[in-house]
Amino acid sequence: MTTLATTPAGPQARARRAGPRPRRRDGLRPWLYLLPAAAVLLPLLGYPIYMLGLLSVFDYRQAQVSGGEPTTFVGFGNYATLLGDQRFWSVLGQTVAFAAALVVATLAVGATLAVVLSRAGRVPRLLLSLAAMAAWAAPAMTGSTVWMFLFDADLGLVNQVLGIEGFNWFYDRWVAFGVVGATVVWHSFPFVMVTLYAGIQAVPASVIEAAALDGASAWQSFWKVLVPILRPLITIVVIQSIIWDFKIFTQIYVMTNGGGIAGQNSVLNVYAYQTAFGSSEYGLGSAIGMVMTLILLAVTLLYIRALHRRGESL
Amino acid sequence: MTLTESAPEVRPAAVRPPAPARRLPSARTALVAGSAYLIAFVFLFPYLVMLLTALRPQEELREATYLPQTFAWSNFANFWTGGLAQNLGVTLQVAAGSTLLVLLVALPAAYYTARHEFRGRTAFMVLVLITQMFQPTAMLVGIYREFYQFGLVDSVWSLILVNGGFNLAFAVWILHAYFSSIPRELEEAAFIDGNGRFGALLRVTLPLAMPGVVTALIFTFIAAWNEFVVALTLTTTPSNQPLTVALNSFIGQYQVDWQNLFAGSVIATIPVIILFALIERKVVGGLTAGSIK
Repeated sequence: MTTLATTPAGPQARARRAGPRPRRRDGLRPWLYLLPAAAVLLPLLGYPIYMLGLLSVFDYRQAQVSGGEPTTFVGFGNYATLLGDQRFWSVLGQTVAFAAALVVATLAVGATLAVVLSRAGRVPRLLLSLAAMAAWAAPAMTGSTVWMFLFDADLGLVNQVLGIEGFNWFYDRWVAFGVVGATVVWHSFPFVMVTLYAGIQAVPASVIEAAALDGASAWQSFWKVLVPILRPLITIVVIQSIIWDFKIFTQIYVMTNGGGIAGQNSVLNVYAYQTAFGSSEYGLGSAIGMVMTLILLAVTLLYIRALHRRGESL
Repeated sequence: MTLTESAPEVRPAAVRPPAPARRLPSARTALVAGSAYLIAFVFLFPYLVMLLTALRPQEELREATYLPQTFAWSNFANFWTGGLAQNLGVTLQVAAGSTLLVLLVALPAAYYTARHEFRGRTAFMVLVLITQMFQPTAMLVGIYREFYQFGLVDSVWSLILVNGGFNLAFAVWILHAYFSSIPRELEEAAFIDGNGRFGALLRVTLPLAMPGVVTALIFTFIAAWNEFVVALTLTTTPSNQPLTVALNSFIGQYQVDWQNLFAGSVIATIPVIILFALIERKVVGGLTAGSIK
């Protein structure tokens, strides 16, 4: 596990001292190597974003797709519609609240298990790593279906164990969010756990021992010693989690059958999908997609800044 | 540990430094181990349920026995006869195709940015990092529109391209880290020994970067294998859909075909877990963009 901490970083530092040789004339040579990557990124990421932006300023619905009505430029009309729509704001608020709850839960579970992992013996550690890996690698789709089955009203094990007959976990908005949230955390805690575990392993044992000698309890040494040392790593894990939890689609789409009763469990992504492909409001759906992309871009810039602060050379 | 304990019998005790006072009280150790077992069980439990349900005959679903009374292997047989094998084929094509695309495109970019300083290098790497955070879900309308224009909707090619594009960033980053970690002196020595630039790259640098290459490939493969929403949008013909989307059709509005759904899910899940087990340790470094120091 310690190799994890050193593999990319250790030798990299050595290479840096040698340093990439400064070239006097760059010419076109770099672009020869970067061209293939650019040739994939531009049409596959750049063009769809351009298309998304373009469609978001047009009135573009089923009628325009089939050619029955002309496509008309509406400027920021779609955005104005969104901003004036009560439903958009409630979905946005729901998305932020759900993502925030997920980030907190994922971090709590991941960090706790990282500490357990660092103290457990060989066999339990191996088993726990295996369980985490299985949850991490699995398709969100299949993970969602199992959890759906566990909480099924008639056949679900949870109802059987709790001895309640036919309780529908997906009926109430917040209960449904809870079940979906548990599934998402199950999928995403392993990344937090493994990353923080690697961080803990890199902290010299003498530091923890010194704290213990000074009379710190395990709880205190976690908050007062480990957390401050690992703060930069934690920042990165938090931002990654925000990005991941903000992007949630599959679990909600699969488990609540496309957003729950009357779309009560929609988050921004599901809302955009349903608006565009469910109601054929492509222009409006594009506008939601743009909002989503801009939010993610802002979080990403925060992430790059956090990396930069760590002295990460980009 | 055993070494420290048996050592005093062999050597004079005075020579040995005192054993570190790090041993935890055994009650706590047992508690930690116990909770680790319990947590591992809880997290593995869904898979156990998935496997057992896949092996249950339809009639047994309502009975709360722990193990199926009769094992219905027919659910797995249904997978092959019921057309899902075709969807597995699509999944394989998409995963393999996008992995190949990523390899061809990411290798030169990662190598060059790791070896050379040039104007625009930082900009390129930041751009790559930003694209890593992008996600196809928000851009679905744009993606659909693009492939519609090129007549590639409902085709394996569109899925290969999209999955390749969205996983390129991670591959570039992790390969970049590996190439940077290989001292350039090694490559130059091989160059001086009479290999060409390309020969040196092929015989010295690439083999050393192999763990990174394998990690990037498996990661891309898994991501493309698991992808759901793009395939849900871009494919409409059942036989053109990858496994994740095809399995979703077992979930009806009022009824779910659990046994066949889970038989398919087991088949869709096991390969990625095995592949992931091979690279898990290396992925973390890449996901935090080499931030663990």
